[in-house]
Amino acid sequence: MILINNFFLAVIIFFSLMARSGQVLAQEEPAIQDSKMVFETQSFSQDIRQLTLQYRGELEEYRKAEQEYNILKQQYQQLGTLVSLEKAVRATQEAMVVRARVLQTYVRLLRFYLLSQAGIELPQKQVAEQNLLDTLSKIEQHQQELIEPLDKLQMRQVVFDFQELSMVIEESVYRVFSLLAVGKLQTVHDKAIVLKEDMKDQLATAGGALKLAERQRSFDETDRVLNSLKSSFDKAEAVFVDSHRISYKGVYKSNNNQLSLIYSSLSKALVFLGELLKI
Amino acid sequence: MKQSESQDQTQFALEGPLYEQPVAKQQPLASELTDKKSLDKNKWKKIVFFSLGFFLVLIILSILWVWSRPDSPSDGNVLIKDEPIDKIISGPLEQRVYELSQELELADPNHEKLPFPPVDMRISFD
Repeated sequence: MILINNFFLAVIIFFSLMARSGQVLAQEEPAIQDSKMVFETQSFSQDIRQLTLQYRGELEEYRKAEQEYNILKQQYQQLGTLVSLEKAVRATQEAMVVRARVLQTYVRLLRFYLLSQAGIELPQKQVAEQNLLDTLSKIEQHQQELIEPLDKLQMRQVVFDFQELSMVIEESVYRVFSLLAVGKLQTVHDKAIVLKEDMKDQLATAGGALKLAERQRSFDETDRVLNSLKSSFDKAEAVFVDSHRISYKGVYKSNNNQLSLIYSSLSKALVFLGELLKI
Repeated sequence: MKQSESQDQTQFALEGPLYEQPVAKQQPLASELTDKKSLDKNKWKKIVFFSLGFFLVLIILSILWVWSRPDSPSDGNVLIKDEPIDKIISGPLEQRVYELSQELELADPNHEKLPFPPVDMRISFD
């Protein structure tokens, strides 16, 4: 009986030790991932997360306000009474207030995306950020005009002013879109070059002479693809820099084809790098 | 001829059990009882020893499995020595190529992560 007791005790101790060692191993892995995450993400991640949630909530609120605005406007057009007029004016004003709130949060969010994006020339980034801040203050000004209850004529004036403001907002946003698109691809390009160099260093001694020659040819081809992208990036940035008289929305759309070519070339270069590891 | 003996077979069949000799039931002896107890004890011992052996084999196999794991920190260096050189070199590099491919997917110029808000920019009363 003592033998059985000892045996079961030994089994329990053994399995508890096993479970503990498993826990230790399981705890080690997330620690590595966390440190990696901290390294990769910028300090704006918290702000971006918070503003994204706020933006989603406000967008939902806007959808409801817009729906009500459409219904009451339609009712006024059908009935034409004073009561329906008052309701329609209030609903229009409310929809405009919520829209301004959505746009404000969106511009703030976009600013953080711009600041956290690597691969953008600093002067361009600063100009675009200042432009976003100016736009933000204009939206706030527009929102201030909507605080007091407005009559039909005042409302018409605010709507007219907003038409100009909407173009300013679009321009600011598309300016940032263009910079972000170039910045993202530029970052991948820079990282691909660093990765290729690391691969050259680490794979230099692996394999025989035959493999070495084959690998060198593959590296040369990858170099050729990555180097050809430098001129493509210059072209994309030149269009952006010289666009004083062109709308940024137009620049963004015209640059899209150029950036798509860069994207496919980068994709090809990464496939080459993946293949290089198998040689 | 004697007529006193009855020839009725039915009556004979009924009376038959009366002539049977009673068989006394034998009581088990004390020695037999001790034998049975010892047999039971032996049976339990066998079960215990078999289960003990089974668990010991299980424990040994578990220990072997834990030691032979490639990510074991205690003997990681020994295992790395056995792997081909190319495989060791390409591990983290493959990971970096994969991560960069993921980053490139996010950089697709045809896919905007934060598109312009879906709001009506022409809200008006007229």
